[in-house]
Amino acid sequence: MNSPTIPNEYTSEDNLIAGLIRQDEAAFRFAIKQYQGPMFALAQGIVGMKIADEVVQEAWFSVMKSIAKFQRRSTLKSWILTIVANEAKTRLRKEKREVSLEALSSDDPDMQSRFDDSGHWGQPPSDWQADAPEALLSTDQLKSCLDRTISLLPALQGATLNLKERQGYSLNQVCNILDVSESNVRVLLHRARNRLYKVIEHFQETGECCTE
Amino acid sequence: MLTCKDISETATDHLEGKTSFASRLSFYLHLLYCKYCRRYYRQMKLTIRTIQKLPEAKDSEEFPDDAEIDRVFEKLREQS
Ligand SMILES: [Zn+2]
Repeated sequence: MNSPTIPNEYTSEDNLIAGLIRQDEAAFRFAIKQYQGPMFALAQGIVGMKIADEVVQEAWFSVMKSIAKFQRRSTLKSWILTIVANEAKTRLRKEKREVSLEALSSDDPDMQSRFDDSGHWGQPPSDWQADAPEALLSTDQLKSCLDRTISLLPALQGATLNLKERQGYSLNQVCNILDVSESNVRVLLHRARNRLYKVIEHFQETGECCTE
Repeated sequence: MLTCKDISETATDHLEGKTSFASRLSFYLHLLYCKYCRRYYRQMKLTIRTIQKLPEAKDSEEFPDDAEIDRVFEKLREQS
């Protein structure tokens, strides 16, 4: 079915909210056009690509059910994004992937095995031939290798990395979205970054992807 | 004195501006005389910029297209 031409009246947020409360089809189509992108990006950041779709769909359903109760203390967009984040976190908990930080600490020694007993580099970092992201990303293999590595990160690490580096949220915002303390967010971010560092290093040395 | 291990463990805190003046001082002092940590720190920054540049699925101007809008709307109508 073809979407009807979207009336301009909905560029006004008040009109849009009123339209959504009336359950007007054009209002919903306009809202989906406006917000589906950021909603999907946020959900993907928290739960990953595979189930982001379902999370966003659930969020739209919640928006429809509760729009009449929207208090307008924030913009419509940030209200909707809060709903997405809540749906995603509920989902994250349900999936029961490593939600506790303890579960994360055991499997991931960061760079620790690279140092000798005195804390000096036992296995020093190798010198990469690239000095710009464009140079690193010029090979499709590394690009897909990094994508795969990110998708395989433990849930909270992946969410932190995606939100902070790819969606551009601040540390503080990430804490609020994920309900994790700032020091824990820093630990998660640090582990995720080191994991990717090692993947790039390995790729520079061997031309192969290690997602171990 | 900071060890190389300390440098690697606090790299993110430094990059995020979460360290005191005193610890910044000893951090950069270590980098001055340790070429491996200098390399690690430089390449860590490169790693981060690279992640930031990774193209995201569905981040194009054309998303959502009409088909996607139809799909989301139809599902919403079924659910309600
Ligand atoms: Zn050092």
